[in-house]
Parts: sequence; C-alpha cells; structure tokens
Amino acid sequence: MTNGSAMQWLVWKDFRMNRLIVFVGLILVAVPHTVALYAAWRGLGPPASEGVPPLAVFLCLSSLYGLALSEICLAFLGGNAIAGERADRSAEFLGYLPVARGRVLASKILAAAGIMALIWAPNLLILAASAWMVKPLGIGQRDLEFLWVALGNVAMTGLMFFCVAWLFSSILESPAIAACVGLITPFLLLGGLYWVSYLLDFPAEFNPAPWYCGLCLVLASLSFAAGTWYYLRRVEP
Amino acid sequence: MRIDPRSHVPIYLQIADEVRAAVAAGIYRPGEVIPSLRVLAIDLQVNPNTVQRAYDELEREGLIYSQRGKGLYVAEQGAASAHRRALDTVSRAFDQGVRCAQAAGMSRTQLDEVFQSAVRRTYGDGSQQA
Amino acid sequence: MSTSSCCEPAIELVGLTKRFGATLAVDNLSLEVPRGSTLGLIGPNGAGKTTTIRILMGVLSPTAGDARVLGTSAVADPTRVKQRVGYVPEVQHIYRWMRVGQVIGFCRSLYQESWNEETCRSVLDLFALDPHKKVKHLSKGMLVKLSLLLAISHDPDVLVLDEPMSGLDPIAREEFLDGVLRTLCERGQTVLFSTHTLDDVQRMADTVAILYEGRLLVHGNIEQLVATTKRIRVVLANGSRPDQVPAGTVWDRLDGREWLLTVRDFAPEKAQQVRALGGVDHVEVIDLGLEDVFKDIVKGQRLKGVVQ
Repeated sequence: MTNGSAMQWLVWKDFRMNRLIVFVGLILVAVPHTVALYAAWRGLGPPASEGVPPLAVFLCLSSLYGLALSEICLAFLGGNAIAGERADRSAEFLGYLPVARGRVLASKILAAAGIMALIWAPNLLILAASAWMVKPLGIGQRDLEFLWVALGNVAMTGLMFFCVAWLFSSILESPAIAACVGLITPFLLLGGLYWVSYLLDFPAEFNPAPWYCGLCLVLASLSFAAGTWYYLRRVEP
Repeated sequence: MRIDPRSHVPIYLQIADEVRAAVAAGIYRPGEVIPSLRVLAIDLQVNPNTVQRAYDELEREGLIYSQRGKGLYVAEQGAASAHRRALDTVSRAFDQGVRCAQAAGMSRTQLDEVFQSAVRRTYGDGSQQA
Repeated sequence: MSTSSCCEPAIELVGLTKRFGATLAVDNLSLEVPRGSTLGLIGPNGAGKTTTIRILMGVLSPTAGDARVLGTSAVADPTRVKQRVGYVPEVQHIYRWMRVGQVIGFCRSLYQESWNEETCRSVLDLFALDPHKKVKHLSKGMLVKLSLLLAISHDPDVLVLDEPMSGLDPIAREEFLDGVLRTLCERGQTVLFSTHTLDDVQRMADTVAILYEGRLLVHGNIEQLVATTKRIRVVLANGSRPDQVPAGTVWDRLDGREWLLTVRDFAPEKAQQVRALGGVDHVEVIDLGLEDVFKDIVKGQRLKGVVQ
C-alpha cells in the first residue's frame, strides 16, 4: 500500500471515509436475518405450505427486507460522496493536490460500489441459499414474477437514493441534507404517481410499478449526470 | 551573529558589518574559513540571496576570497580592511546619535558631557586602553 | 529542470480581478515575480491576499485576468500548476483520521514522478514527525511542518505560502523557517508568501507587494522602498498645516505643533521644499523601517477613501 497507485490510495481514502456506513449497513443487514432465525427456531409465523421449510421462507423474506433496508446506505453514500469532504474541509486539502476531478469522482463511485457489494454479499448469499432450499419443490411462476418485480422496485429506489443524494452532495456542503433529499425523493415520486392517477382518474387496476421504475431510472440518470457535470466544471474544492 | 530586521540598515549590510566586526575582533583570522552561505542563512534566518549579497560586498572590498569547493576565507589584508570599515560603522552610529541630540535641542557642551560619560562607562576611568 | 525559458517570470498576475457579488476582492492586479526571488505579500486583513493566492493555485476562478505560474495559466490548466507548486495554507485541512505516514503515501501517489523520497525522509527527520501519529493528534506546529513537508517533497520550483506561520509559537516558527531556508539554499525556488509579520518580510523577501482593498499599492525592492521612503518631522510655528505638501506624500498628521509627513521617492529637495514653506520652525528627516512604511501607506489610503 505504501507504494500503491493514485487510484488505490483514492479508493482507500473514500472507503475509509465511509467506514461508518459500512458498519451501519452490516448491522441493518444482520437484524432481519436474526429475526428470521429466531422466528424459525421458536416456530413462530403463519403455518407453512406443504413441504416448504419455514426457515427458507423467512430467510427469503428477510433477505429482501435486508436488501431494502441496506439501501438506506446508498442514500448516505451518495450524500457523503462529495459534501462529506466539504463538511470537514478536507476537500480543501485535496483541492490543492494535482489530481484530475474525473479521477476523484471515479474513486468515489468505485468505493461506493465496493461498499454496497460488501453489504449485499451476505444478503444475496442468503437469498440464494433460501432459493436453493425451496428449489426441489419448484417455485411458482407468480412467486418468481413477484420476486423480480420486488427486486426491481427495490433496485430502482436504491438507485434514486444514491443518484439524487449524489447530485445534492455535489451542489451542497452538507452530506446529511443531501442524504435526506435522496431518501425522500423516491417516496415523493411514488406519492406523486398515485396522486396523478387519482386526479386523472386512472382505472382501478392501475399498477404504478413500471411507471415508478421508469421514472426512477430517468430521474436517477439525470441527477447523476447533473451532479457529475457540476463537480467537473466547478473550480472551487 | 545577530541581525535586526527592524533596523533601517539593510540586512545585507548588517551581515557584512557583523562579519567585519568578527574579523576585526579576531574571531576569524586571515586564512581561516568563515561560515558558508547555507550555514549563515539558516543560522540568521535570512534569505540566502541576502547573505550572498553580503559576501559579494565583502569579496569586492577584499575582506574575503572564495576557493572553489572549499569555501570562503579571510584575506590576508582582511583584518586591516575590517578595522577601517569598523571605524565607518562607528562613525555612522555617532552621526545618528548627534542628530538625535540636535533634534532634542542639546548644546555642544551637553553633547560632549554625554559622550565623555559614555566613554568612561565602557573604557573605564583613566588610562585603561580597550 | 523546466522547459520554459530562464527569463520568463516564475509568477505572473495579469489584470487579475475577482468579484464576489458586489464586493471587489481583487482589483486589476498585475505583478511579476522573477525566478529565484522571494516576494512578500502584505496588506491589511481583507486586502485580497488569500483570494489572489487561491486564484494563483487554481482553486478559484477569477472574474477577469490571468494568473500564470512558470508559464502555465492557473485558469486554463490548474492541475499542472498544482503539480509544480509547493503550497502551504494558513489553516491545514489534512484528513484528520489519516496517519502521517498515510498522508505522505497518499500525496506521493498523486505527485508520482516528481516525488523525491530522499527530500521527504530528510525533512521528516528534521521535523521529527512521527509517521504513525494521527493527524488529529498533531499540534498546530507539527501540522504546519507536515504541510511544508508535503509542499517541498515533490521538488517544486515555486513555493506559495499563505500566512504559514500564523498561530505558531516562536520555536515552531524558527523550525518552520529553518525548513524553508534549507530547501531554498538547496534548490533556489521562487517563493511567494503572504504574512502579517513584517519582520519575516524583511528577513526573507527580496521584493514586497502591498495590497489594499484588492489593489496593488506598492511593488518593488524592499531595500529601495525603505531607503526612499522617509518621514519628515516638521515643527510648525503656529500649528497651522500648510496647504502644499511635497510630491509623493502618502500620509501626514498634524498633532499640535508637530507635523509628520511620510514621503515616497524622497530626495533632499523635498525637505528643502518643506523648509521653504511659511510657518516652519524646524525640519527633520527620519528613516523608517518597513513596518512604518507599510502602516503609513495603508493609513494614507484609508484617509483618502474616507475623504472621497
């Protein structure tokens, strides 16, 4: 590490700056699984369908819930990305060093990706294990569809969390405010969709999910692009 | 060696004066090496360019000479030249003092009294030579 | 070491202007710092010293004009300027959670080929910095020394120091100056430093630039400035201030029968002029030090501003 490349040092720095988020994320992931294990051990919960081990169901649900919970980390990662260094003014130290802004951003994205991979890895492993446990019984098509739709929504929400927080992190000096804006936006969007559907009197079977996913993707991409463009053009740290 | 950044005398002249005084007092004798530019700049905490100027001045008047790679040495005639310049410094100091006296409205007699008591204080009473 | 010509100034400010909303922080500032020389930048608080330095380092964009270091424009290519300049800020914001050794490794990776490991190690020893200590546990003095270490370890040709010794105790000051002088003796860098301590300017600088409200009031050789700016002390017979003042008067004050004037580009004729004025009992010419010259020039500007 003493002789590492610039990118290695930058990613290490960004990873280290977000250490608290890693810690919190792993706890957020551990809690639902702990509850699931406890419930399975004590035989709690609704009666399981024939032959399906309740543990598998619990773990599958807790994995999904854990994934959703851990997405809060995405908001804080995004919020802390640029504004975090402004809040403790270390951006002013980095600002005087000869490093291209593009590199600085690239390392932040890499660090964020690495952190989320670290937090999701146990979750995804457990999800895979629970799927393997129910595999012999065959999973219904509807269940699979539900799973994919759920994952899709969760992923899009997470993307919104990160990208909107990223934009505000680029503009503001407060990582907390940037993270909060990131957290609120998907809910505002969802609420807005329902409100619009009510006003425009959409049919009862209206399913906002695909609209939500689509809008999330668009807004997230725009926010990320805007945040990145602003930071690259800015001269001050 | 000390320099006073607040004095009206430019620092390079102060350094030159200090080196001359040291030679005159016999701290550095002819043929001996004087502190290098680097050592003096760091010791006095002044810009090396300033020390260079002082040394250039001293070299010009023949007090010191440089030997490539070996440093700066006091010239043989150094001591005499140093004495001459030391007298100049004293003369300058006196000029300033006399001007102050005049500005304060002192008469010649008063000024002479002040001078005599200062000499007595430093050189002692009677025939003791400095 | 550099590819540009030896006659090109190391630092060039060309019509530099910076506006913050309605405030003009830097007003059409132009000056040059020749290679190998040291410029002391002085001025009252808020004169625009730090703003100018920020623009020079490429972390602030000017409203108009350009700032060039070794031929490279800080506006057009700030990264290249940062590569070639050793910078020490007034307040250090180094990552507090990093250890000294990690900070050095971090910076080494960013300066890459320019980094001189030998210089780094010798300065580390000179300053007795502990590589395992966390930055948040360093005293102000050690923090500034670390900042200087990072600034000189990549062998820059230009050093920019923004009030580097503010808040340092006398021993830390001496140690810091020691570090600067050692590298200066070795490499003969061009130095631009801003300070409130005029003693440091007289010790370290060849030339001085006085800023006031973003404008350059004076720029020139310190010795010359001090030698040619004199105070004339006049005793007036009836305490009435004459209407005429000699050319180059930057400040004057009447206190009872005593009239003090500070005159730039002094020549004995100016003293004669004053003697020839009516109601003058006695005229005396006083030498000034840099601090008095600075204060009188600034006070004179302030009064001008008030009158207008």
